[in-house]
Amino acid sequence: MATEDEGVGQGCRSHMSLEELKALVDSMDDVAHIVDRDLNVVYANAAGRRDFGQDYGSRKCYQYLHARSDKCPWCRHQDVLSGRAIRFQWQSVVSGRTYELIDIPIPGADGRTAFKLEIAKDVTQSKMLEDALLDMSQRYRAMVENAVEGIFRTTVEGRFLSVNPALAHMFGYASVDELMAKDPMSSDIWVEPSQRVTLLERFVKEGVVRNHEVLLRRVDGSTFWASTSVRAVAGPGGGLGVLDGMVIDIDRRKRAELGLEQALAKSRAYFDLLAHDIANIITPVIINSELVMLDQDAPADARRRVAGILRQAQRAASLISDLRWLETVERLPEGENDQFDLSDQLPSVIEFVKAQYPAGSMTVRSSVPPGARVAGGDHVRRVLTGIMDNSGRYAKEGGVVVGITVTEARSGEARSWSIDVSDNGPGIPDARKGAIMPSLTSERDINRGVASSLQFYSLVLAHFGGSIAIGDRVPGDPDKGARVVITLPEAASHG
Amino acid sequence: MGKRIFVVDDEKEIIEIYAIILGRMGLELSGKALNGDEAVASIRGQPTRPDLVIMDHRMPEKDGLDVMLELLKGDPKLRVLFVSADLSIRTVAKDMGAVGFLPKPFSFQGFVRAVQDALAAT
Repeated sequence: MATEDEGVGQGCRSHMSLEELKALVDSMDDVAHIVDRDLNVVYANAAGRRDFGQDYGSRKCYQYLHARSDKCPWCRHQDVLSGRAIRFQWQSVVSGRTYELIDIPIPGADGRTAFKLEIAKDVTQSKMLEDALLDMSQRYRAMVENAVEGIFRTTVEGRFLSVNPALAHMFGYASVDELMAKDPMSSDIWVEPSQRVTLLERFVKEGVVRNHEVLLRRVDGSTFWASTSVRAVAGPGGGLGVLDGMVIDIDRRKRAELGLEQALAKSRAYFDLLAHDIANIITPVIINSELVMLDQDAPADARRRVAGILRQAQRAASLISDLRWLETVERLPEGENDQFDLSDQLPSVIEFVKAQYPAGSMTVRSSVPPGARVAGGDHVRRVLTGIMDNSGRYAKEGGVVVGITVTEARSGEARSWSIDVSDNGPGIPDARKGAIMPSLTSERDINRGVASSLQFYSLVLAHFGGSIAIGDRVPGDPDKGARVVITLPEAASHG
Repeated sequence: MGKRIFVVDDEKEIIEIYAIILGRMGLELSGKALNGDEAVASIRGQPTRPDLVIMDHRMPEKDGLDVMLELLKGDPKLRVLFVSADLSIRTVAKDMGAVGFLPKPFSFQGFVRAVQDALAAT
């Protein structure tokens, strides 16, 4: 079948004999035939015989080349006979290949066209490629047209070159043409001009912007949150050509996030207000109780009752402090990488705690291998200070001996450190162990009673991937002292 | 003669316990204020600079940090010890010129130590 035929001007003007013509045809790599005025195939070169068979003699061109019993309806033979060269594309049903074909009139001795030289260049490969590209282009276009995401192309100066229906729909326009008429940088579209500036700054700096969240305005004035991605497409000279972008409507998700953030901020503000005011309220309770306790003339019964008030007030103060601490830890950014160097910093913790008690009443023996660094930074200092302070506070008469042993603990590839703190104090009775250190694995656990400091330590350490366990210094004998074991992952190395 | 201390807090009960503890420490309560504006006016009106100002932060009219800045502008040598339940200002208060920060709630001994340290601070 032939397509897109066209005249390409006059043919050969000088006379050639058939033999000269055959020699010319034989020198060609492309398929070539010689056809006489009566449509008889006079000669086929090697490429022609390869594609259409050896037997061309005494056959009409429509028989040999087209496997037809009669003349082709698209035949332009008469045009060629009149001296015009014809070019067209032809897909052969005989060879199954596609050719770029040119028919050239060859004049005879009398000046009339004696033969038609037909040269067929095999363009099957390039035709397939062209068809594939066309198909891909059509599919790409269909994909863009039917996409749920908004897709656009603009000039560098900021004029829409194309937008898809989804983008027009996103902005509330009835057609893409209405949106096309808008300036993509105008305040009709951008609610916050600063977001537009930030987008452009990121684009200039990074050359591409991905998932930039912006607040946009619909044609009816309502707003919606969108995630935009833009990249530059180089122009013909290698410079900035056009900008291609995608817009995804993230309004529901973003508004839910913002709502959650606002709710969290409110909760934090309420918590802060509560903690602040309770701290102010219990300060006079603590000080006045202490003043009564210091008053040697106060009746013994009153002093005993006030001592109870003081203990509860101190407990409330400790609870507020621990809650505030936990809240601070929970707000630390993901991947917080502060470290606590046990070999370097543990001695200062020991000295600080010892200084809180009468000289000689606390003896500390510690063993820390060099290079023992754990995650958690200064929060680990606070945990260790608290644990050692417990040893001092509950010491038996005559003082307390605290042992601290740091050892490496490996679990597969992960390296962690175990900090074993034991004392020879009164220990923790078995019946109390569960109350001091319940599992705290759910909100229900947290809400079910007054939390101990160890529970807070557990939650703080868990934030850094650590854990805490309590037991007896001498296993099975709680009277011989308490033991607390902290496990923390090794600090990630800096830089 | 004992050192002269000026106290600022919007809670009367707190002012009252400051007075008791400072008295037991042998220090003189040179004045008191229940809000920020009153604090600025009263401290500026003192015949001599107090040796220490004990300052709350969250107060009506003007907060403690603003009061301290205003006072330090006129008298850079003034010593201010913050005593506050607002822990978020612990670092900034020191950065802005406070000689110390004592969080509320505090103990009798904790307060005594903080005041002694603040008076000893250069």
